[in-house]
Amino acid sequence: MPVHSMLKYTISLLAMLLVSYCARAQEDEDSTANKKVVVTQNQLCIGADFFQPVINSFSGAKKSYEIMIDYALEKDVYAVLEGGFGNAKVDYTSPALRYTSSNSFFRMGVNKSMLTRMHRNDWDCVFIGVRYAMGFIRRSDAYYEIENQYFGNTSGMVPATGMTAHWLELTGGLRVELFKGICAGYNVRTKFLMNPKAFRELAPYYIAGFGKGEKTAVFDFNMYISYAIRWAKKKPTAPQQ
Amino acid sequence: MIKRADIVLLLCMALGVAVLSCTQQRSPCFEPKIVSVALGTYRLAGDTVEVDTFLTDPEFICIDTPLRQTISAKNRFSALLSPFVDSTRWLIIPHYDDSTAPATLPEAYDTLTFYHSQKLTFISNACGYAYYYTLTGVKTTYNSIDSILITNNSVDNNASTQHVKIYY
Repeated sequence: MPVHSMLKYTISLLAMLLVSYCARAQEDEDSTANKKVVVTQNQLCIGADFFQPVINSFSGAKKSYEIMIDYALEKDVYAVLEGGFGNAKVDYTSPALRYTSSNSFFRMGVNKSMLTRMHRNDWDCVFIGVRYAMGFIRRSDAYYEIENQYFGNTSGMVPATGMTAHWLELTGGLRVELFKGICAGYNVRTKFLMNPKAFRELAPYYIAGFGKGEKTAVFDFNMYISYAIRWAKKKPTAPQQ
Repeated sequence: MIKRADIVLLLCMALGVAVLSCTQQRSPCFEPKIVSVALGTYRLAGDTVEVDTFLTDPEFICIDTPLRQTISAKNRFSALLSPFVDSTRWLIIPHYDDSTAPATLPEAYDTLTFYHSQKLTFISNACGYAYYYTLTGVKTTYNSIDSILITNNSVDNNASTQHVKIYY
């Protein structure tokens, strides 16, 4: 899918998400007419993606695991750090192509909640965000075969190598507190590889955290379950007389 | 506040997506995995104007292999190169569209020798690797052929490029 189409699709999706939840937020806002909620707690949320292990269980060829941490800053902005690791195995025949790859990655960025708080313990959010991400990839020796029915087949090996991937993400999603401190939510993401030239020579089939290594733009989905740790904010000290 | 029903609905959707998206199958390869030298036959009409020369039922035979082509497009055809050596020879039996020419006689046959270097190139995970070539030279006999010219020496998966012009 071309990058501009993907970008258009993502923006449309995020816009739909925002419109639907802003409408709901508007209803909520009307019912709590002009109440200004003062946040009295800090929140640190630690979570894991439970969607990837579901995919892993169906796929023998790729594995990916991911965790996330976010911290509530001022004005419904959250600082986010995400990380994980994974691997992939390519074992194709006719013509043969065989190698394995593994990688770790991290992402950092911010989310901005678009929902108005109904009360001070309301931590549900519908958000949009951006990320910068890096992946550190290790590919094994790759065995290949080239079929040629006229002159005969050839085969060989491309030596193992390491690569670094940089990408940017636009993301949107929601998170809801199911029980006290236990939250669940999802992210949709569009990812744009910033250094595709590094992957011209045998791009890995799969990069954990990014997706298909041959693509410069990919669409992805995460579902997180997380635990929120909250503690009281320090009250501002009164100026001494 | 967000309703818990929203989350349950999304969980069901996510599981559906997971089942559909998780199988790894090799994508189909839409790129040519064996590339060839594209040739065209011409004759000069005047000093600078060149026109296509159509050969009648020509045959194009790769020497040292069993490969033998009867060319359907009489003025455009292609030659495969060997990935094992640095030169590949082809024999053209022209069968001129001129009843007075002794085209079927061995004296009318010409041998083209392509000199090349090959480069191992990764196409994609779906297609794997292929050899692309750089033409370093071409030689011919001049029984029927007047002259020969390399117009593009990069032999890759670009199907619109003509690499060699043969003048009769």
